[in-house]
Amino acid sequence: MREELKRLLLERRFDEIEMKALKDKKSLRGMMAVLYDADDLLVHRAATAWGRLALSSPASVRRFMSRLAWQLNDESGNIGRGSPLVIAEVARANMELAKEVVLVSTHFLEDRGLLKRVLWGIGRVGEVHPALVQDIIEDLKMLLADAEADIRGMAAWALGKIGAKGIESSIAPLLDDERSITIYENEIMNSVSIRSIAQKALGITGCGPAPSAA
Amino acid sequence: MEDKPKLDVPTPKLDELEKGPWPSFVTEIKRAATKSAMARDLVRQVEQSYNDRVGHWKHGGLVGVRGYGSGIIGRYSGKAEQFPEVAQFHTVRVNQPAGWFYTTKALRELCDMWDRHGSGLTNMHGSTGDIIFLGTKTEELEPFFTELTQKGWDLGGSGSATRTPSCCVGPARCEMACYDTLALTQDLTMEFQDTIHRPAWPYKFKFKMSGCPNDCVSGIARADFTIIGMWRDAIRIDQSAIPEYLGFEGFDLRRDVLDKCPTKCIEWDGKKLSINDKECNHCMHCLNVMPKALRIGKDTGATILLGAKAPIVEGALMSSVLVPFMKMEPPFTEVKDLVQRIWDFWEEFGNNRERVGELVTRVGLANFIEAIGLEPNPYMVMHPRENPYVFYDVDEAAE
Repeated sequence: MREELKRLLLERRFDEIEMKALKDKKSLRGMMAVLYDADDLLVHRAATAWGRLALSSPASVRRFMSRLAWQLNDESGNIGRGSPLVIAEVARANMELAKEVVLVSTHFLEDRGLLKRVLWGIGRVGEVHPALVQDIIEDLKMLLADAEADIRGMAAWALGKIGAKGIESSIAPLLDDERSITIYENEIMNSVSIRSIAQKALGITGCGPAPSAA
Repeated sequence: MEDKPKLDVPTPKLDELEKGPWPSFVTEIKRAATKSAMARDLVRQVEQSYNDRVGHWKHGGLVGVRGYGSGIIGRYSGKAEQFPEVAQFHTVRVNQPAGWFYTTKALRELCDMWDRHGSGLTNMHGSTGDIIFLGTKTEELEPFFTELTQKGWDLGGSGSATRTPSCCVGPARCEMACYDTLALTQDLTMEFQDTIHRPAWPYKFKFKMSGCPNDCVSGIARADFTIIGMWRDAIRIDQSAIPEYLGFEGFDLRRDVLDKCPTKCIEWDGKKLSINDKECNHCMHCLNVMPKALRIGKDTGATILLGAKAPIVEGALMSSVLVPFMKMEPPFTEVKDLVQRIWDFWEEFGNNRERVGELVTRVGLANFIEAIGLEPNPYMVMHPRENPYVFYDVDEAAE
């Protein structure tokens, strides 16, 4: 089941995944399993599929939301690596389903292993519900100075998506940052320079190279 | 006796745990500490814990290996500055071989790997049944996992996953085994790999396989799904072997066997032992005492029990009979189908942190067995010969 779902995700056949999930409960179990995959693209695509399901079949998604949150807090050896992505996509699609767990991921801003995905989730949710994430803007600004390119780039990307105000001085150093990071957008992994992310976040247009598929 | 290893740091409280006749985990950690800096800091931190009367471990972040969601349990020191070598001290669960059979070569291979990538400290085995490797740093997880899997080993389960199935030694070493526990464990482990490595359940789910009602893996008290070997015909009696027992010094057939039979179904007329098998509740006592004279029946299979859990603090549940008898032969299709039906129900209706036994208690056994497609059966009792559930549909009864 998981292998078939992976194939469908790689081929971006989201409609078929939705059909499967509606017909067979085991498909949703498989969709949970894909969230642990080593391929970052597959995990993000699975999150996209969960978001689509939240629109087409909210009842089937509902019970998984608290489970995804629980996986982040389980201390007996669980890794809810995909949870921040799925929670964010479901929240974007149907906030009613995710309202109780949408901010859980923000408690993991100090978890280095999870941080890039937490930032991606914050950006995705913040883009449509900016008021929800206002309390963590300062935390995101601190991460702009992170030693790890992935983290400072994702923090800048999230701030840009949220449309955060008053970030100019914090983000300015990144305007000279030539490192590139990969970000999942429009169902593909894009390689983007931190400089262009910073420019976008500041509303400077026409300066960065177009994203290329990676 | 081998001399106790000496460390250059005083550990008066831990030293107390080295006294007495039993092997001491402190001695073993100290022995490891002569070679491993992690083990050395572990000794120091545990001594500190006894002084402070508080554990100094904390949950400091999610760790794991790529592609898997379980098998690694992140542990961090709350006193990292004082004990830097155990700042990260993650536990790794490795799937044990069925029945815990190893060659010495395999054991050396495992220990050598752990000396290279971790503290060198092991727990053979944890209460889960897994090989437990204690203490490694985050940066060592992927290299260790790569080496482990290249040598044919794999991680075990943790978190809200199917936990590593475990079993007794079964027919490999025990004449009481009513089915091949080793084969079933291997089969379930391979069949349900995905659910072991990628947690997708409301909570943990444990399989334990015992070859007979002695239940040497204690599944009845701690596993969600326990498969206990059973026979449904008569206990085989070798009358010619009984006089040998009667000749043993201190052996009293009436006192040691007949009077201890919980259902009083054994008789001895001075020449012949007879058992009323219809009354036997398979407690195993007589077979354990007189294994040469008494043997399990020939029509063997297993009883399936559901719903135990053994938490540390409170809320323990014993399992109860779900299927009184099922033949247990490869490819084990019937039992695997049953598992899938249970999972379908639990996965849909189970709350987070709700074990399957708790779900059954919440929704009621009648609803549960109807949902998974089992017929009510008088054997579905919490305890034999007491507290029976009675199922009937009011309309059907009226008819």
